[in-house]
Amino acid sequence: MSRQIAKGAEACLYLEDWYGFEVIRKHRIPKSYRIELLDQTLRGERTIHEARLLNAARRAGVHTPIVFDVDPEESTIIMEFIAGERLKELLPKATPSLRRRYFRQIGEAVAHLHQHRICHGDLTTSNLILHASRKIYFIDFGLATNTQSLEDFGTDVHLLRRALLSAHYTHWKECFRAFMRGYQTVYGGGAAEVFRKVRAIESRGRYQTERIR
Amino acid sequence: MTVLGIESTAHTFGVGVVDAAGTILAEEKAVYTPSEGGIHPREAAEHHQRECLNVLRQALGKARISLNQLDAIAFSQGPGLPPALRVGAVMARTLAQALHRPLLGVNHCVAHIEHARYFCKADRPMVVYLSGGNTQITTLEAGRYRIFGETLDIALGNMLDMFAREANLPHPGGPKIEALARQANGSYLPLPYTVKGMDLAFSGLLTAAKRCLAEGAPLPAICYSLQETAFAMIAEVTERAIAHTRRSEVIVTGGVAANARLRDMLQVVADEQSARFGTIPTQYAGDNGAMIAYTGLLLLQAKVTTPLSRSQVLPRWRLDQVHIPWGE
Repeated sequence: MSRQIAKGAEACLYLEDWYGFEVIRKHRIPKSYRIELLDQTLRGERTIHEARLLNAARRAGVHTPIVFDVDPEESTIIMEFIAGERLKELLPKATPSLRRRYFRQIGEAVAHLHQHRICHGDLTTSNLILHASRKIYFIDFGLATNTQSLEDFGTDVHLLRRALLSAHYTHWKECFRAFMRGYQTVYGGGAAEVFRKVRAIESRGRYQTERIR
Repeated sequence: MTVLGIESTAHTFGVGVVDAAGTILAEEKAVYTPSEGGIHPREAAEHHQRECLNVLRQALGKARISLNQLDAIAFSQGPGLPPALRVGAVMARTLAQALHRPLLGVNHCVAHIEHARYFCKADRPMVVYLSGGNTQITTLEAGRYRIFGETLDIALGNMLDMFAREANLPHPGGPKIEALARQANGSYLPLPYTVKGMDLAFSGLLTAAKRCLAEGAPLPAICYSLQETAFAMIAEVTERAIAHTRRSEVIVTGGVAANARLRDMLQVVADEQSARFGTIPTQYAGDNGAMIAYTGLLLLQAKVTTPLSRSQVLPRWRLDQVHIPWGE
């Protein structure tokens, strides 16, 4: 059995039976717009990388799918299937208190990642799944990095804020506040430094807003 | 209804005239070319001051229209280089007051996008806006352009220009790089590929390309690799933005939109996402007065005019700060 359950921009997800387990096979699709050498390199690197960081995140105490198998040549990962709903669809219909609870959890989890020197690299609501167990799972570690740099942590948080601003502009503020509270609970004193960095990133030329008007 | 538009954010001093349907009656410009190095803001402003009346006269002549027949005066209020912006702003205020016509402050980025939307007959497209000063992937949603991805450091066009100068290619560098890349026969040098979430960074790529140059790598191969890497980054973010929003149209605008390889890549992305692809006609890809006039027309139709007291130039005016009345 193999059923395509999602076709993202980068990869196709297939729901499959793998030695009796219900799994997701994530296949990174070749992209004909870029030259083959670049395409092959990017897909292979990202496959290995994602598998490695999915495991590292799990060890850091963040809910991620279990990785069963990796094939960089074919650029596929076989991983646990997480049954649930993406935050992207769930958020607009959730109550304010649920929204706050979810984003507090997300804040805590991101802080755990950062404490273990992992940046997710693509924190959008499409990459967060609410599992039947009410736990929030982090998926798609394709752009994740191992890093110690405050700049990267700041960028991670900034990207989530931007994702909220662009796709969920009606609730972004309350969600982001709850996220910050959760992040702070886990990260403690270090959190202030990260948030300062976020402000610094957003105050750079590109993000600076016009004061007049 | 006839609107005059004045563009003066950077190199180009342009004057355009459009009628009520948006048809371009005139599009005239004078372009400042630095004798060496990059654009010098004061020199650009001096160039614009020298040329502005000539360009205005030419545009009115081409449109076969007199000043009295204009219904409104639009100008690019920002973002851009302050000294250059002021030249256009002064001319616009003067004309508006002398003729007793409404003044329309236009955001330069919105103008590039709206003009492309007009030519591509696109309704709610994903917009890829690439120029010397801006690199943004954006779409209209609830009265504002929402930015999905943008550069974290320098603009794509700026990166290409800076590399071209380093390689002693004559200005403008983009077309030269494009031509050289075609002679590379596909020899690709690995260069850093930087996509952070939906955002991009080009300065590392520029540094690496300069290093290849210093190490004596063949110029066509560097140009080819530079284009392939940078454009693949743009294409990837665009594809993800379309997948995320499920938009059914993609358009590309801004100076870099004239690049054929970039268009090819985005065409492939659009096809794969079952979206219709459109580009701004090459002659209007760069900065021009017609796009300012056209966007001024949209503002006038939406009854959004700029009082004199709020007509100061806005050098850092961001695209996503502009309320778009026709995009509610």
